[in-house]
Amino acid sequence: MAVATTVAKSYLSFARVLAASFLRYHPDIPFFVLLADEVDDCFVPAAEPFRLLRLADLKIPGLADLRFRYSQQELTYSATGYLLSHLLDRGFSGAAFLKQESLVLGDMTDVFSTMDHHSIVLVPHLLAPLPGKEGIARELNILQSGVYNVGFLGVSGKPCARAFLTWWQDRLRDHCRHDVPQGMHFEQRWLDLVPAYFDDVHILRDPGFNVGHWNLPERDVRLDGDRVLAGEEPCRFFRFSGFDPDQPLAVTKYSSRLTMANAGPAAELFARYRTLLEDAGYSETKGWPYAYGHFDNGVPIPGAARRFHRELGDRSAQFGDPFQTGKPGSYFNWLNEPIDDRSDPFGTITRFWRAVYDQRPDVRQTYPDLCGADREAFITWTEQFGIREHGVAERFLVHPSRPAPRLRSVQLRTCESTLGVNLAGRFASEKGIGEAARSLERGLAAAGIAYVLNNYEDPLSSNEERTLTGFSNASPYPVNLLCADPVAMPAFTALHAATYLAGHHNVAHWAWEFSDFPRAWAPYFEHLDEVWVASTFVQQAVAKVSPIPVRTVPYCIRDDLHARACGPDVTLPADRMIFLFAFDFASHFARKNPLGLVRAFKRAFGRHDDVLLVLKCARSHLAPADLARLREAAEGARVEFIDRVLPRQQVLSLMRRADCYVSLHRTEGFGLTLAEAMDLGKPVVATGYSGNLDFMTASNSFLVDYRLVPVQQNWGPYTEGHVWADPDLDHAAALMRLVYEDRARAQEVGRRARQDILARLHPRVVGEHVGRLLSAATGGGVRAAV
Amino acid sequence: MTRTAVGTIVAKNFVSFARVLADSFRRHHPAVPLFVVLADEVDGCFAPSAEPFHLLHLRDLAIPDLASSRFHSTREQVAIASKPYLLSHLVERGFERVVFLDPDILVLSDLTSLFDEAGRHSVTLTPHLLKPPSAAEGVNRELNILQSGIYNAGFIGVSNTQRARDFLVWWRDRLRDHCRRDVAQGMFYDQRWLDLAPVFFEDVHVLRDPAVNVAYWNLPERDVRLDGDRVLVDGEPCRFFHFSGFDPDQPLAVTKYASRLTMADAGPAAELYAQYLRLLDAAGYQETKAWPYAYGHFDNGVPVPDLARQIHRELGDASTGFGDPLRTAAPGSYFNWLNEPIDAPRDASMTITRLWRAIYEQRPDLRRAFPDLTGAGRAAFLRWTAEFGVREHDIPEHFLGWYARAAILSASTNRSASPGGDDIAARVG
Repeated sequence: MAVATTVAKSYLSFARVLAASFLRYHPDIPFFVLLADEVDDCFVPAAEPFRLLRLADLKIPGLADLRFRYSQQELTYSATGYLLSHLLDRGFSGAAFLKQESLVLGDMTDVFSTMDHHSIVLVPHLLAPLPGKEGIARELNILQSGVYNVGFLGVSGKPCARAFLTWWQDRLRDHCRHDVPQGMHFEQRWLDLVPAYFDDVHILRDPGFNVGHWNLPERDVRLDGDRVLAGEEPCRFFRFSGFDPDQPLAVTKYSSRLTMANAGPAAELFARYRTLLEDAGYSETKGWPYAYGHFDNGVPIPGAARRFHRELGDRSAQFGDPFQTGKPGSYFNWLNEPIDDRSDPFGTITRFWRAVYDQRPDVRQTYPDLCGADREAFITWTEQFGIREHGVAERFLVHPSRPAPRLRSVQLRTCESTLGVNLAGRFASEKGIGEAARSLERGLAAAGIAYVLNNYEDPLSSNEERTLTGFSNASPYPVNLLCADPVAMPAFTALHAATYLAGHHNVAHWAWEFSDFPRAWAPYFEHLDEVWVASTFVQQAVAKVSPIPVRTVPYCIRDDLHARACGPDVTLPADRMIFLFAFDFASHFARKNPLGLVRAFKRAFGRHDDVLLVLKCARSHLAPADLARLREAAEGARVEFIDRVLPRQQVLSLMRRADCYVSLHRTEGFGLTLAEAMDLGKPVVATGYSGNLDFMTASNSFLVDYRLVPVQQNWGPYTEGHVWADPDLDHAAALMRLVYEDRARAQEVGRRARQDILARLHPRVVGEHVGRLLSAATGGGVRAAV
Repeated sequence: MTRTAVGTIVAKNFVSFARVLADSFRRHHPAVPLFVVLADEVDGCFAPSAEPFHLLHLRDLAIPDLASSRFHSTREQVAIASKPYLLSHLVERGFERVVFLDPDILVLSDLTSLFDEAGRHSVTLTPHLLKPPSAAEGVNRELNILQSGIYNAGFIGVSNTQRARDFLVWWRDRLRDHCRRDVAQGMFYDQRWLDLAPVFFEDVHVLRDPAVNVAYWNLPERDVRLDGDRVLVDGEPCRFFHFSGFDPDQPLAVTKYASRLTMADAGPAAELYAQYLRLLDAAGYQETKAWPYAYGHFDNGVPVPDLARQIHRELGDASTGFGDPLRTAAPGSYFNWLNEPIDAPRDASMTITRLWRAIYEQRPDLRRAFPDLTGAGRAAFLRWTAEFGVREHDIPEHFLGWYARAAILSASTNRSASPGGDDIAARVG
């Protein structure tokens, strides 16, 4: 008699615990552990409480392919047949397999005796029907995963058992995976056929044997000192299938039905098991790497690549060892080759992604014309979702004809000072671009990063913001950080490439608002090493087109917002609830959508006397027709226009007075005024779309439903064909009414908003983030002062 | 003498199969009664007393909520789900051994040993396969079996024991709402539930006799030979052959369930199929195959689409307000309710009915293709209902709205006149 289990290295602690528990009751029965992995010096086999077997010991045909084609879990399970055959070959009269996450709690002699009398011993998941609707659902789970549980399997040396193992191990070479619609659940569902194929099968019907999460409610597990009981019977073998010691409140990751709270006395058993695992070195072993997880260039092997190799069957032989990447005809290189001769930089589909496409019926349904009309959309899907859904390293996104990421070696000019940042921007502008530049300055200052300010006047601004002074013409530091609009790049680089940009690590913080970035603007990345943008929404848009890294660096709030003295106030009635929105006609009337806001406000409040919508706008002279439409829409409702440029102080004053800030924008790159309103503790009603979702949630603001609609006209750089949001005006009206009627809730939301904004957008938080990015980019060249 | 009975279940269109089964059975067991449950209504199509079997009706079987379950189930499901009730009924009538056989079975020799074995156990089942298939495509056949059930539900033996009764009660309870094909959920009609039977109930016998329940799925492993009048399997007399999925109108195909198999693949058994075809013909197949299903139409003659059954079932208690779902005349009838508009569009001809909305809600691809059912999206969706919806969901054209039908009409009159176009023109207006 011999007993065995199988583990990958990271599960060695489980093997140790199982072996120790078994040997406690059966010290004379050899306990083997099959390592579906490589030792790689992580442990000393001779020092373990079990005998180690390796895959190579089992004479598995095609082992090299198997190690590549199966995931860690699949490989572990697929070797079970060969393992048992091997033990019988070694002369043991019988062999039993115990699955790794188990504990032996009592003497198993009678079970082993059964194995003397029968060729095969199987243990079912359930012994009796389960009551009620939930019972049917649990029974269906069993039908999906197998009538018998492979946590325990016993075989004798008789011909019937040998025939079973020969058949089973063969099936597991290609069909040991989870695919319920195909009739597969790893190695376990195959066992359903055993009572039909073989007549010397014993079904073990002991309720104390093989107790696990699937039958726990029926087994009445109790602890009596050291003894564990299942009903009146001793519980001799307990299965902790799917138990994760790092998630100890969950009984199993395979089902959320059971929690430790409703597991009854068995919860104590799980706690003991966890302690045993910790004592057996779980924290250390869980981090041991899987030997068959990476190509030899270090790139993790995606499951889709494994599966594709398996599906190629014999044709995969041409690649040789699939783990090797170096040679020209390697599987890795073959996967990354284009499927056709589309040569444009952003239109390449590689064989790998084609394989993923073939494996995903839902993706095929969404992009039916892969090589034609849906080509670009599919490629975008791979970048936005495909890599995440399939656990694929970015290496698989490097299409051969896409510009390779530029790694410029920065030859730093002799620096006059220690390392820091040359921050260039329009610091005097009252517009958003000025705010962005001042925000970056606040972040650098709060994090103690050295910098100079290189100022550029914006001819289209009033340039009355004088919060920052002390500008310099010098750029002594190795890093340039330009705060700009992308369209300003050509002019800037034309003037300054040689004198300012050359020899520096150049970062541009770009303002952008849409979900797509114009591919025609690809030249703007020239001379830059990184692009920073204010939100993940914009990051995703720009990353689709950018050959250089794109990072999210949000704007930060002022930390003296509340301490700032109130200047001459704008007079607003004291007895009305004020809804406020501030916008610039030049930053596009259509995008800011004040028209929608006015309509929604009217729907919400009609001619109510105790509310007021204040629209703070600027530069209406640029769009008189729009202003006229707005005024006309506002007739009959309580709307007040403040149509002039106000100093920042007074804008803040307005915001402090407001009871609620509203923005029904169609798209925002960030939404700094929204963040500032939240920082002031105001409830904010805003479209639940685009950049503001980085800091707005359903708990800290009131998000308005929307649908996506095409951008109808050319709005400057925003070409037709893009989409943006059309907020639901009825929903917006309902939310404004909610704020009006439920003041307590609105205030609570505002309090939460301020908390969240402080946590995310405080200058020190953003500044530290900037510091980390710059350190990483320059190899530690920028250090924040402690 | 132990009292034995055999039973099968057919809808009217399969009466010729029941006749062939009954005749073949009586040749070997003239004294053993064979019962046929009609999952249907006679409706004057045949004279039960003139048939070679004892006729039972669904209402004889003590099935609860029969009218409801008949409406909620497809024809196939009605027949299948009544199986445990048939077995219970015969056991309650005092038979000590009861065997269910699928109607497309031919009894070929004496079944006494089979009855004896069934009588020694509470429940007797036959697996689809008795040993691993050896050929390369054997894995696919095994996976097929894993998807559809280890044991074939075309043969069930029960004896008069408490355990058998427990099994039947559990099985019929499962079949009430979980008798359909949904492999991903672990369901394949009544058959996959049988995988659990040997574990849940003691004294469930797995009958491993290659001469029993020979069919297309195990033909490659069983050596079938015809020797004059006898049919031998691995040298032993074949007890019965199961022509599962055989369609007399497609005699070159062994079964509609595995289109790759042709009679050339069936070896000597091909001759057996030819004999079976002649027997069915002689039993009136051509006439009986056209007999209508009694629960298949509303009382205005419109066929009941499966979707309508499903919606009614999902309404649960809320459906009782409709009364008999097959009656259409009353204003509050289920039929009228299905055809009511979901909203009031400006253009009243562009109504979307509850039935079509139910389809829309079930189909994520439709919701992606027609995200907005107002304006232009509405017209496009309505066109889809006529061009594709009726076919994909087997919906009678009576459920199409005016706009949809007009759209087909204009499309077809823009092409040269076609018979289909004329039919629609005849219905519209």
